[in-house]
Amino acid sequence: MAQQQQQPQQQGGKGGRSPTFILGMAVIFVLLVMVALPTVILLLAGMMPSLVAWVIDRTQQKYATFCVGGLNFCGVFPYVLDLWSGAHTFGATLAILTDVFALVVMYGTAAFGWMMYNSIPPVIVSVLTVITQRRIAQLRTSQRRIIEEWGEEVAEGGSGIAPPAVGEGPPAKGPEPEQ
Amino acid sequence: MAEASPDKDKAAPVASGPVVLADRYMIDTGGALAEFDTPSAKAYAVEDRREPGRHLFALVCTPGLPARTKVMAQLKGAAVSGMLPLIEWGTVFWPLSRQHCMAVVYEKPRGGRLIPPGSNKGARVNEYDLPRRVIEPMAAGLQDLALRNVTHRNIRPTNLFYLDEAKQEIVLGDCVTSPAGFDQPVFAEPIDRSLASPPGRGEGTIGDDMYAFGVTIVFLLLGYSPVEKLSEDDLIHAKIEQGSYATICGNARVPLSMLEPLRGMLSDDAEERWGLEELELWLSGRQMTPIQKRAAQKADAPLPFAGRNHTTPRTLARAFSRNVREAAKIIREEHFQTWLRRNMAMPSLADMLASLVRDADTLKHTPSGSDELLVARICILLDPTGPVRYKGLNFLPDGFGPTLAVELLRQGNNQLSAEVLLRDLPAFWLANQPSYSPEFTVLERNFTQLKGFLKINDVGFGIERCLYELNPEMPCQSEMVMTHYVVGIRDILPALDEAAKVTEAPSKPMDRHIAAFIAARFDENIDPHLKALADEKEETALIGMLSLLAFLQWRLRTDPLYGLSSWIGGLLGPAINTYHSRTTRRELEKEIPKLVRQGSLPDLFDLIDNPERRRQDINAFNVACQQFSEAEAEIEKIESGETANQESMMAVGQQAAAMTSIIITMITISVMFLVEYW
Repeated sequence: MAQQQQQPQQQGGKGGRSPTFILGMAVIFVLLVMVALPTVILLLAGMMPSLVAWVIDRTQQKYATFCVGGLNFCGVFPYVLDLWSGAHTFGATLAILTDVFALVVMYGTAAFGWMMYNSIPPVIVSVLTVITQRRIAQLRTSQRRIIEEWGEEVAEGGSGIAPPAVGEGPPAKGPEPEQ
Repeated sequence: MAEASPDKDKAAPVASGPVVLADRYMIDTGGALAEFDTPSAKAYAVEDRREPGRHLFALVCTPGLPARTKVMAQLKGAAVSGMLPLIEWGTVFWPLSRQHCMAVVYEKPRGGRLIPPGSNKGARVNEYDLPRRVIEPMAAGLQDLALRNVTHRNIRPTNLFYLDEAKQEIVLGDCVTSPAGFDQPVFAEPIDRSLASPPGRGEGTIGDDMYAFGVTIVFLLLGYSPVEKLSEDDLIHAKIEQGSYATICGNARVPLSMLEPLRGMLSDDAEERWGLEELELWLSGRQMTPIQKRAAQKADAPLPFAGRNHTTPRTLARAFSRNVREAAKIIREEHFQTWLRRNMAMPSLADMLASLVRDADTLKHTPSGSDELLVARICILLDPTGPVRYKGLNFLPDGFGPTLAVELLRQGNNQLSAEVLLRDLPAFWLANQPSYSPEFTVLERNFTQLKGFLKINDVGFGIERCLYELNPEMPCQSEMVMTHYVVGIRDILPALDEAAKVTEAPSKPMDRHIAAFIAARFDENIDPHLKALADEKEETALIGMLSLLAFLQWRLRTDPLYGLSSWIGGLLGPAINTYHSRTTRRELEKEIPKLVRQGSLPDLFDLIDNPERRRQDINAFNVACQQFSEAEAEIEKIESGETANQESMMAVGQQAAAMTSIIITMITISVMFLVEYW
């Protein structure tokens, strides 16, 4: 029973957001719409690939979202600056959004983000695999060296040779016996 | 020329020519003196380097036959009256037999032998001269020996010599070149000892010497052998049936004055036999009560067995031991026990016998139930003071040592003697003695110890150990050193050093005989060395061998042993391999030739089995084992977790991609912002 009660709480904490958070975000969004509607429209339209990435990226870390979103924002940010430095109007926003070149830039950077997200991990895996293989090779070399010095029995945990038990022998340079 | 000394042989092998003993006595190998030969030793002419012209001769002993070296040490240089003076003794390399032999130098009796061996007639001494010329000096000599706690055990008519040219001084000859009583003819031995084989007659007592002296006196009085026509078998039979005095003096005309001492000396009862005290009293003129002839206990009706009618248990025991199959049959028959009860009046003996038969029948198909053992035990019961008789081995317990030695010499093994010990026959003999003697306690303890040695089959124990424990004079019988006549512990290492020159490489300077010899002769605790020596693992046995020989060299302060060190050094491969470290092995292999050149076995042992080096090797090996297993575990971990690793590496890659993206974004935004508003 205790486990059953605990599960929904955990789901709520991880997957869903708390109502306060959602409410806070909604207030910020409403304020942003009220203060800078053209910018918000531009961002919403330009950052669409990031939104898609956020939706389809089911991982907790949301690396795809960060990767695509980051570069996507790089593509959108010059046009946001244009808005801020020029006329911050709905028309200017519409002009940008209807400019094919601008869309190519915004969505192209998002595509570049996707490309990065798909190409960097295999490279990293390859590098790390090489490093691991090198470590194994080093360990094998070390083992070979140990066997060369101590023999195969070292691999058997020392069960091969038992030192002879002879008892005390004569001292080589010890005192001479009394006659 | 070869030289030798009693302590240490310094012989150099030569093909022929004189051999020098103790740097002084030159024994001429070509100068055989057959007239002074004994049954076990050949006589050769001797010249004294310091006193040329001195009359000497040497007896060269039979190799392998234990000579009485303890008696030699007692008699050397001692002026024992009535005995041939023993001048020197020691081992020499004897070219004729191509091995080392024991040689004993005596003063040469210039008058020769009284009665030559094999001769029927010899010198006759009348009853008036006899006490002065023969009895008095010899009694003094026997007294002298008794004071030294030594028995002669070789007194017989053919072992008497005229020491002077005028043939006035009669002396007893050699008594040291063979085991006690070994060369004695049957007539010169008391009944109990004559029943034993020559090597098994034992050290005996002064009583046995007195008996032989009595027989010798009879021969001298008569001038011939009164028992010449009797075979050994008939002689023993007659002695048992009629008594020794009646057998030897029965038909001879013994002077009346000699009747009394001869009856006393030839008494078959050891307790009633005359000793030196009685003889001296007689010589001083005291009249002694003559010993009456006491007839042996005889049966009312004889028991026919093996072609003879037996009326005494002693003759029957002798016949039983010679016809074991028939004896085993008759023993099981009812009429034999009835004969014992009714005709011999020995009901208790009959009961014991019946009990033994029952025991043997219970253990019928085992060695403990064999007919041979049953008959041997019954012979002891029938003749308790007689010898132990088992499968042709006849010995008295104090003669078991020489019996072992001669059995080895003749048969090449000690199988029968081992059986005797395992079947507890000496203990059975001791338990059935009619009277107690303090010697029996010592013998019992010795035989218990010997059985203990025999039961351990390891090197250093077994029948070989018994052989050397029982025969302190026995040279080591190992093939490697047999030709060196190694009697003392100090001689074994030099002999092995010599043997190294001719031994083939794969053999080891250790075998069962050498180990047993060292264990018996060395007065130190060498049990740990023997234990290692007997180990199944070759390397442990090798180190055990080296430690034992090194311990010997150290304790005995033996000179450098170059040959032996080289020999052992060449065998140490498996011992070196007991070290785990290959570097240490290579170092040891490199060091061995240097130590071999020093001839020091303790140094060699220290190199091979140095405790500190061994400890370091073990510790380093354990560390290496740990390192190896840790490496193995890490490899296994890497290899087994490869799939999981792939996932984590992908995650790392994605994280890196995300981080790269964010960094690029931040840089780009910053640059654009600055360009726009700067």
